[in-house]
Amino acid sequence: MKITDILGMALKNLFRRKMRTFLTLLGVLIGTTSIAVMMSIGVGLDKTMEEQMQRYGSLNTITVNPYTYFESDGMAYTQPSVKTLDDKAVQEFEQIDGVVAAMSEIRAMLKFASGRYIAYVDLVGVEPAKMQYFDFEVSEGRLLNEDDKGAIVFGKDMSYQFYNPRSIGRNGVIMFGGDNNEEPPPVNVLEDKLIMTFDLSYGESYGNQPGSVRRKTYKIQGVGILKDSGEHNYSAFMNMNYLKKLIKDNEREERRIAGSQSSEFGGYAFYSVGGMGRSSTKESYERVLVRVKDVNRVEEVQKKIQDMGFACYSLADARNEAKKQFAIIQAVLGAIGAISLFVASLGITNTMYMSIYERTREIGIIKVLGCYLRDIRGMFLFEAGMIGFFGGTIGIGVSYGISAVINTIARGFIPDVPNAAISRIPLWLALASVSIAVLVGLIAGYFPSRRAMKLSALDAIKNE
Amino acid sequence: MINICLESKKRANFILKGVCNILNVADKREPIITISNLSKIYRVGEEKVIALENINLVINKGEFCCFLGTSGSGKSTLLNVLAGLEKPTRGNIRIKNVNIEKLNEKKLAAFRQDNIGFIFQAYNLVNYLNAVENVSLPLMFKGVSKKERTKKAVELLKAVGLPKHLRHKPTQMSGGQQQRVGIARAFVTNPDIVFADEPTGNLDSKTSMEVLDLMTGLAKTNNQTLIMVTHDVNIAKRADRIIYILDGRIEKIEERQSVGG
Ligand SMILES: Nc1ncnc2c1ncn2[C@@H]1O[C@H](COP(=O)(O)OP(=O)(O)OP(=O)(O)O)[C@@H](O)[C@H]1O
Ligand SMILES: [Mg+2]
Repeated sequence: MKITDILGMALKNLFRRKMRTFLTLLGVLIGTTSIAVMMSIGVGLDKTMEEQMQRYGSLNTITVNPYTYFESDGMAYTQPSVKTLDDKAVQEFEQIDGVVAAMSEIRAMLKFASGRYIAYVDLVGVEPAKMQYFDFEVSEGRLLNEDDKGAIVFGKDMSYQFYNPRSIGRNGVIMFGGDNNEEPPPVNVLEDKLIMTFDLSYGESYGNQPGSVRRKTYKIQGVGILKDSGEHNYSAFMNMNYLKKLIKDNEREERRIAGSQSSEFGGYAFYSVGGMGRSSTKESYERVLVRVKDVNRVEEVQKKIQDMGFACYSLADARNEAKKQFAIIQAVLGAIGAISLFVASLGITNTMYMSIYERTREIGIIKVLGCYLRDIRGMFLFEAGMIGFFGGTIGIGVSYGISAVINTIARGFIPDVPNAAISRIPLWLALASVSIAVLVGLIAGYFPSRRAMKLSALDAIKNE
Repeated sequence: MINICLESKKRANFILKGVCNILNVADKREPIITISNLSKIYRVGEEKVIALENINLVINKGEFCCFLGTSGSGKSTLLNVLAGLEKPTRGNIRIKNVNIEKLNEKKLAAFRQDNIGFIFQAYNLVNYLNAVENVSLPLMFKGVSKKERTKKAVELLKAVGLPKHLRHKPTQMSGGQQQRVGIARAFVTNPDIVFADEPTGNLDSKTSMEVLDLMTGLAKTNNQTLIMVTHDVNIAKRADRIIYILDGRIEKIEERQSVGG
């Protein structure tokens, strides 16, 4: 028998019993829909979380700190690492298979000024050549170059951090700009003249108290503004080599002042470069970023770095942890859906048995006429599979509708996450749902079809 | 001495005659079914029902052969065993040099598709299919394309006198018309052998004769073997050969016409 004929016979019989077919199909439809919708919520939550996380930084980046972990009484502690987190370590990280680049950074808290405006700045010294590997992208201007000195790249919202200290005196409130600031920033960081200083009291009224020392200022120029990025928005970036030089220069100045003046506190910059600090003799970076090419290898690379004796973490850690949670949620939701599909499968089996009972005679006749057993089985399997297929396909259609409704409702509850979709049906889920429905149909039809196959042709035609 | 001479002469003559006979038969009568030592015993609980007992019979190609007997004599059982619908308890059946009792289900189905047509007393049409679809069923099982099998089915329905009932469902036809469809279905694959179990059992005598004419007409034109079961002597008289069945045994065989000439 041709496959098209088997299909044709199966369809003919399905359409012959419209009401029964419809009801059986409805069961599968509901089963598929509940699986798809339940799973879609699992997928949606997972994806939404991942998107949220990506706003805070790349999942491909590992942050390495100069600590080691140790466990005691089931608790994890950290202690300073034996090895130094220095340029040698950075080079070693870059040797690890799967690593694109490793970038050390130093940070200094200091002050920028432009005319009357001043800003506290988290200045990060980076290696210009490696910026491209760590999601630095400019919306205006350019990134840093190897031979840059006073060039600064600003985070997206950095320019809004400038304020006029004199205006605080009047209304007592500092007005900082935010994400959605429509007014232009007070300082055009790419055009206006800028200076920086390690003196944190610079420009403040208390800084002008008698006895305070005028500190050095350095000329800087803004060369670029970064695109929106959760972790870079409120920082500024400078060539690391130049920043190291400035820090050393500042230390000399501080020592000089400390030597000439006895009691002095306030207005010193904080910076986190171990080697530059006075207490540590080792030149250890506060943190090193390691970029891994493939998200799925982050864990493996992290393991290697830990084995080298450094503590490290990545958003992938958190993601994996959350993924485990969501996998459980998904399994539970999926199981709930699966129960209804299972019930639907009983419906299919029942329908098929009924159909075979009614068609006993017909089955006997076609056997006598020389129909192959496998074709008889094929007809009934197709019938059952078709119920699964149509139920599943329509069910997926319905699921997309329900999913849209869920998302519309959910957006009302979480307005701060724009375009959040807590229910998502990716293509794989749609295909998997239909396939499962077909499979359930085939399994449900298997025993009835065997029954049809094994019916005695003689008994069938004898019973009048 | 003379006695012995006579005796041997007689015997030689007899043998000669026999050889001639056999030769004669051989070029006119070609056996298509050979049944030897066939028995069928049903077991009902503790009891044994002997439905067929030691049947030996040769049926020739192109022959119209009729099993005649009372109810319960075993006619249907014999037919079903010949058609491969039931396995014999003992003995064997050779059809076209194939021992069909040894075939498995799949090979039997293929064998039936290629060689056997079947006509039932109760017509046994598939009630949701129209006349053309019913007739083309056996071709569908063989994997013939829809276009081709419809053409063949229409051809046969015309041959059985139902050119206006092509799209009729069984419920929209009389018993006689349904049996014509049944006949068309049996002949549509152009099988070598057509089995018919009381094909006129549900029909009045006039319609019975018409249906019988149709069957024999179709069978003769293609030199097909027709094997029919009946308990009606008048119907049986139309056959080339009547095999009387009594209690599962061949009681006697009556040659109606000389098939050879
Ligand atoms: N499946 C079976 N199980 C047990 N006994 C059976 C079975 N089929 C037939 N028989 C017995 O075999 C014998 C012959 O039955 P069969 O159907 O061949 O008779 P028949 O000659 O066709 O009769 P009728 O003219 O009434 O159709 C009967 O005694 C019947 O009881
Ligand atoms: Mg009978």
